[in-house]
Amino acid sequence: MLPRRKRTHASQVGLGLALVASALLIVAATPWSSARAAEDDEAPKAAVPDAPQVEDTDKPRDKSLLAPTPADAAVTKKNQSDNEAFYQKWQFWAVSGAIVVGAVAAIWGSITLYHSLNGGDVRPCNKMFINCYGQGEPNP
Amino acid sequence: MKLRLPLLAVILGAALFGGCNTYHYYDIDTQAMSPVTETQTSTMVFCQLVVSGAASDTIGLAQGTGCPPNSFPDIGTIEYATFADSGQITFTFNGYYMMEVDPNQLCTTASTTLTASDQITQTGTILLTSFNATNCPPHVTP
Repeated sequence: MLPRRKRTHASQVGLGLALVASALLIVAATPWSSARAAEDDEAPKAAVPDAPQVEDTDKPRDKSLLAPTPADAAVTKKNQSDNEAFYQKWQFWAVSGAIVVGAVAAIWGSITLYHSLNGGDVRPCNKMFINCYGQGEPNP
Repeated sequence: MKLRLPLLAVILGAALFGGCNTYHYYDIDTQAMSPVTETQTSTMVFCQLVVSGAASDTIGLAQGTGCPPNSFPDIGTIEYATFADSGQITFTFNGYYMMEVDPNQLCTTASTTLTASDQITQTGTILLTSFNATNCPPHVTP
């Protein structure tokens, strides 16, 4: 069994400095800290060139995570369809066509029904007759 | 709701097949018989078929439509269509000497009466049995 190390005075001082430095870092990094508030009040400094993004650790290394997924395509398609005008949607033309066809059918049916209720067509005139007259006949 | 649809169908059916108009046809044949002669009927230049009773109409017949007649003694048949399906319908044939309806130029007249019914086609005959030679002398060609 190893003998227990005895703490020296220097190591105790180093540990205390490390704790103080950690506390200062936390205070300085906290957004609501007085140090950060003082920084916000200051005039903007000249733009400092950002550090190169070569070592961007946020960018995932797995390429499959960046590839568009089916869900993305669906969302894109839905957004495109939401942006279309009403006359560009097939539903509009389907409903409009149905209304037009229905109206034409209703008018034609009404005319046919009215004509039928009024006797329909008179029968053709026999060519052996002098002529045909009366209701429905073309002759006056 | 269950009763409304059959009721609607009955009303629609009644309107379609019961209360609507149906054509009825009356085929009227006009014939001349003795003592009327072909020479006499040929003097008529204007004729009328007057319909009275359940239906009312006046049909003028002139050159090319039966007056003067193209045939003798059977002058020809005229079909008259009407929606009338009840009552009496009288068809009167009048032949005139000139192109105007004038009693003084009436050559011959005769009529027949039919009873309108549900029957679609009925036939009748008008017999010309008299001719007024005073009103209608033979036409003199110079």
